[in-house]
Order: sequence, then structure tokens, then C-alpha cells
Amino acid sequence: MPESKNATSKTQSRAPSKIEAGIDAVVVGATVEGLAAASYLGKAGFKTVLLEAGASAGAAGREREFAPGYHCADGEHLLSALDPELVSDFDLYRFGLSFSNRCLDTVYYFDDGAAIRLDGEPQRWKQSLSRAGCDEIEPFGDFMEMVLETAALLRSHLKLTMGRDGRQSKFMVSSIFSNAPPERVALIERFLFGSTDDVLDGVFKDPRLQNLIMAESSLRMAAAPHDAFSFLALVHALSGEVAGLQGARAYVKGGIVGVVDALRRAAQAKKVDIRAAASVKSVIVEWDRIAGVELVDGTQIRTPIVVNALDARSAFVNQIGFEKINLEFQHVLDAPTPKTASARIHFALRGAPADQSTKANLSRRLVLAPSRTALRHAYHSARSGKVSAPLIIEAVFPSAFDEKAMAAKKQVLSIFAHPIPYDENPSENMRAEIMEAAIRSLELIMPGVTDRIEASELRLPADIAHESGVDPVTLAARPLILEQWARAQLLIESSGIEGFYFCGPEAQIGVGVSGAAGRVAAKAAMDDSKSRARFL
Amino acid sequence: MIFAAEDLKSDNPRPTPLFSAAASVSKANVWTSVNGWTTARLYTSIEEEYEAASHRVAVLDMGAIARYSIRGKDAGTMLSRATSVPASSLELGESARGLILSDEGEVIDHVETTNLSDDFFLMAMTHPHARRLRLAARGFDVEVKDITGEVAIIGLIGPDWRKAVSAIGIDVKSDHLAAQGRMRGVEIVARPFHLGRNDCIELIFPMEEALTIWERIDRSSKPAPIGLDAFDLLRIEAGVPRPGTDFISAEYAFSDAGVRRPAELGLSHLAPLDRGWFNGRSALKHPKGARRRAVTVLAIDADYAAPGAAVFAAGKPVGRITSSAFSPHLKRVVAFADLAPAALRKTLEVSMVSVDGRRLAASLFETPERLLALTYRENLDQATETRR
Repeated sequence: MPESKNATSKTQSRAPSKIEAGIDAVVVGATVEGLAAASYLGKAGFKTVLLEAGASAGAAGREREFAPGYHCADGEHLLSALDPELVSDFDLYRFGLSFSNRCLDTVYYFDDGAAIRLDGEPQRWKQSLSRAGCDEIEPFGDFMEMVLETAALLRSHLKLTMGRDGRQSKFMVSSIFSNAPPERVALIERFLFGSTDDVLDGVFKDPRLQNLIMAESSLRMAAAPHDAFSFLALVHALSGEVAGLQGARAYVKGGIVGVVDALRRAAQAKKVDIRAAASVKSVIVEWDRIAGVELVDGTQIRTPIVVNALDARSAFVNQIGFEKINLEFQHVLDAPTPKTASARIHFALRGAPADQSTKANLSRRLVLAPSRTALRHAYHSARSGKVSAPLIIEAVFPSAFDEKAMAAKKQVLSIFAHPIPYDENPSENMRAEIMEAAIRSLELIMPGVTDRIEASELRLPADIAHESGVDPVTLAARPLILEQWARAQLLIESSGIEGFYFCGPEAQIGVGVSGAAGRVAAKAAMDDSKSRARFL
Repeated sequence: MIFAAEDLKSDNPRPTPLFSAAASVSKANVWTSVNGWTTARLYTSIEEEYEAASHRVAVLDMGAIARYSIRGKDAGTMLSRATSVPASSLELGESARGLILSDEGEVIDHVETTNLSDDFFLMAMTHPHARRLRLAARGFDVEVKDITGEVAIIGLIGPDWRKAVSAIGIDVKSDHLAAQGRMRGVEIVARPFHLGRNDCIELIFPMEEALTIWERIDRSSKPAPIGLDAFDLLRIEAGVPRPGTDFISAEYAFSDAGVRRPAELGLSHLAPLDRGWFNGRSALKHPKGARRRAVTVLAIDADYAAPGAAVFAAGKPVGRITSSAFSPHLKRVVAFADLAPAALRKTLEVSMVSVDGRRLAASLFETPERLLALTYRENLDQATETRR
């Protein structure tokens, strides 16, 4: 067989209708990561084209009407980490990034009807507890102080690295310990390797405090509180920074689309050519080097650099093909089928819920923290394909941050309910069960809310995947943090294709978006390009 | 093609299709397990067997070498991708040697591929790699089948192999191209190969005919059976390092220690960077760090083999012997040694001692494989010079 067949077979079926050359870099996918990568490449003077299959950048997260007069947006409703380097490098505030609330307080609800409100800044949780009249303020405060210290220590170690320096990167547990005060080593070891159950054992007796920590470490994660390494999820979440605050949760004006829009403007200011409705059919690989991309309409864009922000399966399997990627690397793509997921539900409410507590907390983050037994049961059920209540609920009222909605007395409530079974083809029965369990759980936060529900929309991973074409696995509950880190590191550095850089959802660690993976991918592309130029 | 190291922990190795024939001619009756197949280490004596392979013809049961058939319209492309063999450009009947490399460009195994038709290739490897081949087949229109044990393979080593092959009615016209013939209605593939300076051929046929064909060859040319020990001597003289003995296969390694890149094994000519695009090529293009070790063949002034012995240069330890055998022809020990590259330019000694208590001298041994590597290197240097 002639060697010319080494070019991607998908590009050989017919001659390209148009060939575009002179492009330095192509970024596939106008997600937060894709836009971040394109902005950096544009800033460095690369002639960059950003290709988005949807009608506009961030189209998947745009606001839409889910019930007459009620609007919602998919994607993250809160930000827990937005890459500070990205924000400062482009001064995203200049491009319209704005927070409706940069540090949301959280109100935790418990099975027994009690509630505790904690400040948006974890560093002030101790003071919040004293206001709540809790008995174990000191042990809780000391514990959180240590968790936050460990989170700060971990921050530099769980960073993704890529490019020539990054290829030597390893997660060196010993180096974390060597930087830690000796008296803390045993504790840090527990935080890194222990289950949430073990870590909390004997720290404080108040079950409510234990439940809220368990809810935070388990929310949207595949690992249950009794699973080894599960506590690291909380440590990692608290290591994130948004709006200059460590461990805080912020509500961006316009939701996640607010971030996308700011990044889009930043990219345009750096002369990035953003093309919507430009679906990539395949990435052209010649030998082991990127040669360009081919669009669905047959256009070929020749470029030595492709940064892909789509999910790993789309990026590597669908657009490049198994036959072009390293053999051992294929194992990285074969992720096991997840067992648990989170449900996103939007509720259209006739006005705010009647109870005073909810009315007072409309612009806060509301979390239902089930008891240890209930949570364990929920995980067991989800893993065996069943749904049980109560679930962990994270709820916000997007309408509370929208003046128009307030005026119209129409409230939109968006929640994440966790854990539920992961199912790529959920039946109507399953959907009904999930909805019922979520509403039962929600009733524990805001009694009587059922009566106010005018309409609702259940968004399971399968629904979002079906509409957006992403791999549903990426929308399932996130695996253990160390597992995510190891997989992300392999995905971004081991494909063996020169000029290809990955910053899709699997390249991000933890829940949500941050833009860091896009920055890392763009910087690696720029470094490699510089060293190639030196060599030539 | 070479054999894998003995798997000494295998407690119940399977008989190869030629086992009963081989057992009937074994005087020494020394057996071992290779890849889970019962294989003779010795039939008579290493000297006799080596002599037959060097000057007449020796017969070898090659059933323990892993074999795969690759069928489908993408067979050549898939093999060119998964191994460093340029399978797509092989002529009909042509065979080529190459390496299987990890994503990091480290050597996993030797491989030899034969093109039997546009969509049908045979593969031989020291170790089985079914899982890896299944991965490699993804995205290609190919069917990979493990045929080890389903076919019998007789190796004939030595200058007189043609006479033995003619006994079964196959006319092998070329020293390089495989021939196909039929005997008793059964298809036989005769594939010439080289092990160092030794001309060899292997006959591949369905296992049901194993004993008949062995018997015909035995009656016509009386080849001496050769076991693993004598074959290993031929391997060392040829300069082919063995995974599991002279280096750790990257497939089974738990750390970087013992894992080697082609250049470290003196096998760069088997994975040249201009030979298409194969797995591990991009890592070889951008190697991490300098060459770490040199696995090379030494000739030692000794009359006994001592694997594991230390090698010294200027009185300092620089490596160790990984496999060795006494060569009746050279009257010296030939041995693979894993050395620090800088030691190659120095006078070497081995921790084996002579009768007067001195360390024995060792020198670099020019193997055919080393000559191929040097030729490749010279061509590469010339090409680089021309580009400048």
C-alpha cells in the first residue's frame, strides 16, 4: 500500500472544495477552554482560527426559554474556579466579565429541618458558625484551617503541565510532604488518601457539621464519602480561586455565558478569527504531525497547530481516528463507563417559595446535606441503577440575580441533584423517579415548593449529550481527583501527534470550568513552536 | 527470529505440534518452557548442534515463537503503524525485520513480517502481543488471529537447507522471498530468513501435518536437531539482544531501569525514522535525554559462560554480562553486556577470573547486526552531510 495512505483516510474520499493556508493555529470548540487557548495564541501573534460547530461561541450554554416566560441556561450555574492567570492576562473585566455575586453564602439544610448558614469565604466559616450558635466552633474552625492550608499546598501540585517541561511531570506526593510542616504530615496524608468518612472520624461530633462536609466533598463526584481518596475532592474544590477569593463560589452576570462572552471579546481583540457553524469533520494528520483540519463542507484549513477543546472521544477517536494515535494512549481513551451522575433541573416557580427562610436566602447557594446513612444509601442505589431520596441538592435562583425576572415575580430555580444512576438512554420511568426524588429532597429545603412549580425541565447527561453531541461520559459524575489528574496529564501530553494540543473537559480537574487547561495547551503550543523555529 | 527467554515459572507447558517428533530424536532429553510451550534446550550437545547449523543443516522446532496472521485490506498499513516494519512496501513474499516500540520509543519486542498477499501478512514475535495487536487493529479493516499452536513451524538452519526443503517438494527460488507449495493437499509456506551469517528457512504448515513433514525432512537430509542452547549461541554471535534477558521489554517494565531504546541496543537500523510512521517514532525523534546504556556483544577470553558477571573499564564497574555462551568456533565466550556508553572506548575486563586470579580481558565483538547498524549510521551521517 503506498505511503500516501498515511494521510487520514477520512480526508481522501474526495478532493477538498477549498484549501485555506497561512493559518498558524486552529482551535476547535468555542468553550471556555477553547476561547482561552485561542486568546493566548492570538495574543502571541499567531494567526488563529477558532471553529465552533454551534451557531455562536458558547451556544450550548446560551439562555433559552424552557417554559413560557421562564428562561434558563445550561452549563455551570456557579463558578468555583476561574483561572486567575487568564483573568489577569486579558483583564477580562475590561471585556465584560462581571459578577452578580462574587462570594455566595451557602445555607446548608439537614434532614431534621435545621439549617446553618456559612459565609461565602471558607476562611470565615468559623465566625459564621459562632453566629449560628453551634457547639463545636473551635474544632470545626481548626479543621477547616488545616483543610484550607492543605488546599493551598496542593494547588501547585495538581496543576496541569504540558510541553517540553511538562513531559517530565509527575505528581510527587513526597514533595508535598517536604513542603508541609512536620506536625501536619500525618494529617495531610489522611486528607490526600483517606475517605471523607475516615477524615471526619472523631474530628467533631455534631452530625450536621459532618453532613455538610460530606455533601461538599461528594457533590457531583463519583466517589461516595466512604470511598478511599474521596476527601481530596473537597480539598481540591477549596484550592480553586474565583474573583480573587480562595474556595468561594461566584455567580457570573449572565451565567456561564457571561464568561464565554468576555473571553470571546478578548479573543476578538487579539484578532482571533471566530467562525461559527463551522463543524470539523476530521483533523488531518500526516505521518505523526498535524497538517490541518477538514470541515464538514469539505474545506481544508492547513495549519501546524490544532488545539482541541472538545471531549476526548470526539477529539481523538472521531476526528483523528485510532489508527493515528499511539497504541498505549488508546487505553487512556477507554475510560470505564461511569455509574453515577448528577441531574440538572430547572424549575419555573410562580413567585418565590412561601417560607420565610427561602425568601431570605434567594440570592444564596442552598445545599441539602443528607445524613451519612442517607447519603451512603443514595450512592448504593445510584450505583445499582436506582434512585433514592434524599439526594444532595445544590440550588440557586438565577432569577434572583436578574432584575427583569424579579419584577415579573417569576422565579427560576436551578438545581443539581446528586447522586443518580448514569444512564445513556434513560427511560421515562427513570426520569420520573429522578424528578420525584429531587422534588422530595427539595421539599426538605423549601417546604411547599411543589405547589409553586409551574413547569420543570430535567436535564440528564444523555439529554445534553444528545443536543450538543458531546460524549455523555464527560457529563457524568467526576472520578476521583487523583484519577482525573492522572488522566488529564496523559491526555494532554501523550497522544504522540506533533502539533496537537488537547484542552477538552477531561483536561480539567474537578467540577466546572476554569480556562486553565486552555491556557496550558496554548502555552505548550507556543513553546513547541518557538523551539521548532530555533531548530530550523 | 529468536526465542523468548525461558519462563521457568510455567509449571505445565503445552506440547508444540512437533513435540513428539522432537522428543523422539532427543538424546539429552532436556526441556524447558518458552511462552508456555515445551521446547528442547538440548538434543545431543551444543557443539554438535552448533556444528550442524554452521556447516550442514540443523532442524529446529520453532513452535514457541508467537505467530499472528493479519488479514484485511488495511493489513499492510496497520502493520506499518504498529511496528517499525515497512509492511506496506514489502513485495509479495518478502519478509522484513523490525521492532515493536512503546509510545515512548522503547523496545517491546522483535518482529518479523512476511507479505503473503495484498491482504494477508504473517507476523512472528518473540513474545505474544495479542492485546497490543487488538489495540493496533482499531480503526483498520483487519482481522488479527493468533495462530501459535495452530501451525507447526520447522526451522532449517545451515547452508544445506535447500536439500531438506526439496524433500517436501517446494521450490524456493529466492533467498529473500517466501515460496508457497502444497504437499498432501496442504499448503506450506517456506520463508527464508537470516540469523547473523546463517542462512535459514522456516516451513509453516497446519499442525495436523507436523509429524509427516518432519519425518520426510529427516529421511531426506538427516538434519541434526538443534535446541535452545545452541540456538542462543547463534543468536549472540548474530548480535540480536533478547527481551527479558538482555533488556526488559517496555511492555512488562515497572520502571525505566532495564528498558532500552533501539539505539541503546544497537538496533537503530530496525527503526529508522524515515521508515514511515510507526508507533514510538515521534518519541524517538525527540528522545528524552542522552543515550543511557549500550547493549553490545563482547568476546571474552574464557572457556566458560558467566551471565551476570560485572564488566570493568579502567578498574571501575561499567556494566554487566546479560547473556553469554561459549563459542566452539571462536574458542571464546561471546556475551551480551549492558554497559555505560563511554566504556565502549576503553579496555574492558570481566569479573570472571583466570587460573592466575586475574580478571579476564574482553573486547567488542563485530556481529552482523552491529555491522548493519554501523552501515545505517554511516548512511545517515552521509545524508546529513549532503543536506548541509
